[in-house]
Amino acid sequence: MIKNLNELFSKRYSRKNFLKILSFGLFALLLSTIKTKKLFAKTTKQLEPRNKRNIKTNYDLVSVEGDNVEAMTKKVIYELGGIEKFIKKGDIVVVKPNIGWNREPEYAATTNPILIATVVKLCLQAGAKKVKVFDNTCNEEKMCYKNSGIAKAVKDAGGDIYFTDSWKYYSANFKTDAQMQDFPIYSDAVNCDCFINIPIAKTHGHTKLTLSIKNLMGVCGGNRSTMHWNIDKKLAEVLSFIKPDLNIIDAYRILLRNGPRGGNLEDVKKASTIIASTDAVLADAYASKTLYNISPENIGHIKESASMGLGSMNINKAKIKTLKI
Amino acid sequence: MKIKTLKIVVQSVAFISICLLFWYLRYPINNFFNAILFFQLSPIISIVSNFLSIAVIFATLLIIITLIFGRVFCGWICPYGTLMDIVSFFIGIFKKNKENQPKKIKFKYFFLILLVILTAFGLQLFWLFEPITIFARGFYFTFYSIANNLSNDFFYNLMSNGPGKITEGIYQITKSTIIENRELYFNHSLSMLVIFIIPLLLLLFRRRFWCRYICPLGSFLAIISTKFLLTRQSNECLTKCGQCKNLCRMNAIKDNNTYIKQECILCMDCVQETKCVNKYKSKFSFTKHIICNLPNDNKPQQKSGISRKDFLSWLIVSLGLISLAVKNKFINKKTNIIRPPGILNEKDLKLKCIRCGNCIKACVTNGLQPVLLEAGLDGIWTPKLDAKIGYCEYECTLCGHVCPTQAIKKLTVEEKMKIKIGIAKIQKDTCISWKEGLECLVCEEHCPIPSKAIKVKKENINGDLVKVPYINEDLCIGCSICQNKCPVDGKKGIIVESL
Repeated sequence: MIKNLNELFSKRYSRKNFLKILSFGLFALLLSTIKTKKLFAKTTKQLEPRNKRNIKTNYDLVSVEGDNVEAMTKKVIYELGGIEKFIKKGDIVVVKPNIGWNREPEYAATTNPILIATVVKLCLQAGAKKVKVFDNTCNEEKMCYKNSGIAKAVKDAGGDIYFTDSWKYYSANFKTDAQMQDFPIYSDAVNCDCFINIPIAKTHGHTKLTLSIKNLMGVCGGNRSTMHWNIDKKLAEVLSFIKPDLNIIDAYRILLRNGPRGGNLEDVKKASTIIASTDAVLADAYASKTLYNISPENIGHIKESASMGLGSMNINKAKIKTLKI
Repeated sequence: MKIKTLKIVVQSVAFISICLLFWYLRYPINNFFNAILFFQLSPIISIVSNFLSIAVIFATLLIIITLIFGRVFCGWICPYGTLMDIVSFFIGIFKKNKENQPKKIKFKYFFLILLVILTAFGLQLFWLFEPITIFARGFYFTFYSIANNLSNDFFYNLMSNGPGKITEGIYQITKSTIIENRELYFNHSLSMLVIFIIPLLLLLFRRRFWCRYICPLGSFLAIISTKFLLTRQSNECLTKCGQCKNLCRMNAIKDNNTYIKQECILCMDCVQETKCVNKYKSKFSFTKHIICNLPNDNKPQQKSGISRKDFLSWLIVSLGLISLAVKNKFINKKTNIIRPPGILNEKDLKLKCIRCGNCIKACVTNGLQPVLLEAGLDGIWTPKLDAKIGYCEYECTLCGHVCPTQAIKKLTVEEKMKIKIGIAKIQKDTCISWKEGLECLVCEEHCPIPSKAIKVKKENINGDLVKVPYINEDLCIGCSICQNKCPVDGKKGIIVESL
């Protein structure tokens, strides 16, 4: 090879030689422009809605007040009927916290890491094969995962925490008349046996409050900002698609103003509560009434979800247990 | 081990470790051991940064090494030099090297002095010629971004067909250690590549062409290494076979087998035993150099220095440039670009910025981009915040921490949160809330200021009471996240303008 090349270059460039080299180079260039995408043609996959497990819990909703987050989390799940009700041996569990912002846990912009770690531990004790924790963050993901303290807490608890990958978003098959039709949804959130939704209670400029229904925005990809247009309907559709098996609202610290990003410690209130329910609409309705004293009828996405029949927002009818530890 | 083998080993280890340092200059940054240390070795960086104390410490280290061993940095460590050696090795397969009698004084010294004088007058051009930054730019904006994007693309296509267990495992490991979980994009990387390639193309004429005739860092080290202690010994050799002269990649060896000390980069080419006809190979040792007196060396000494014509032309070019600098012809141009936080003023930035691209590469959102001519001719490749691509993360101070010359100041998070870099303006003709009355408030949601620089009020738009955003200009710091996340197509509903 080298000898041939040597001959090629040692000669003066004749026209023939020059053309040879030129055509060779052009051919190489042509080869390089064939996109790898054509070599591995993408199969068009569509996600179908997730099937919710039919779980009968002891109460419709349990609310625990206390100071020890770990004990409260354990208590709230115990009162619902124990983790075994939700998780079978060998399950793949998805835990979806709110890691949206690059803030420390004290600012109540992200879910309490101890709460997540406790849930992860409980799932693993109940025999879950894998516990996946992720969120499509608003700020830079590496910073969010690190500064919220969640990455470390989950890793220590034995769960899998990872950044979302662009190739795992598939266009979702809502109903044809749905506004969210063909919106990309993270496939891990759908292809799982149990979906545990762990939001933090915060205010929100647009939707007034961000609770468990709004937290599901973290499984959506694509140009998520457009979801803000007619957000109530769209959030209800996402809820109908994901149907979380368990919603645990972290109200240990809650944001009263300047949500959802916060930043002032004066805006944070220590409500010392954890609310859990299988019904996301009920959990949100209860949290908005008790924590913020806002009637759920005034919050668009809760009302919309209830009218779509995804849950009940009638707190008075529901079987609710509140306790203090 | 032969000294030549040792040199090659050291050179490759240095090259690979420097590339690794450059590769890992990104978000979770190691505060003690990172690429900035390497940048600050260069005395040029410490000249440019107005003798920043930490840069001076490292530069002194390099100067001491140079005083003892000579230009080992050029021959053994400099990554750009190593790259040139690799390229000229392949060129050497096709081409025989023949060298001329070296001139005693080369233009590069005048060039260095010119650059220093220009810097003193306020026109800093080192950024175009400093070899470490040239290499870094080529590495970051061509090699790193292409390698990162290609592997992301590769895995994207591989996984889209359904991830296998092994491929996913490999991907997870690669993602967490080698590549970044995002596609990188850099403006004007082609112009940087051109500057990176030209010195490599010059190798077609001479080996180490750049190091011989242009490199300002090399000439700085050469000036201080006239009296270094390690010396080449060739006194036993009395022949004028010219082998050593042709072997020397720096053209430092003269016809009479003596050599110009400051040109020697200790590449150990002349120590090659096999090529020496008389087996009187050269040696390097800490003893006094004995010049061999060849019996028939009676030719008149070659005229040293540069010719009058060359000197005059250099003088004219220098004076022209200096007068331009003095007149501030192309500095102080009013700019309309958003600079990263920690930059005091344009003039200071242009004087101090060495255009290494560290801040642009390390920026966590990819929002820092090089400018081309927007900031004037002397502002080429300085960083700006491009809200189309990224934004300034509120609690991030990485750009200041990776700047080797402190053109971008090292800030604490508290200081950075208060620095205004621009100001957001609602565009009422495109904002969907103001124009069509559709509630959106994405900008308000993302605003990082604790008490929100973007406020909400109710306004009567097309007959409906709608929540619309407006801006509190005292609180806004211009981080551009609102513009970046605005869902409106085309012209965004909120645009950040420079102060």
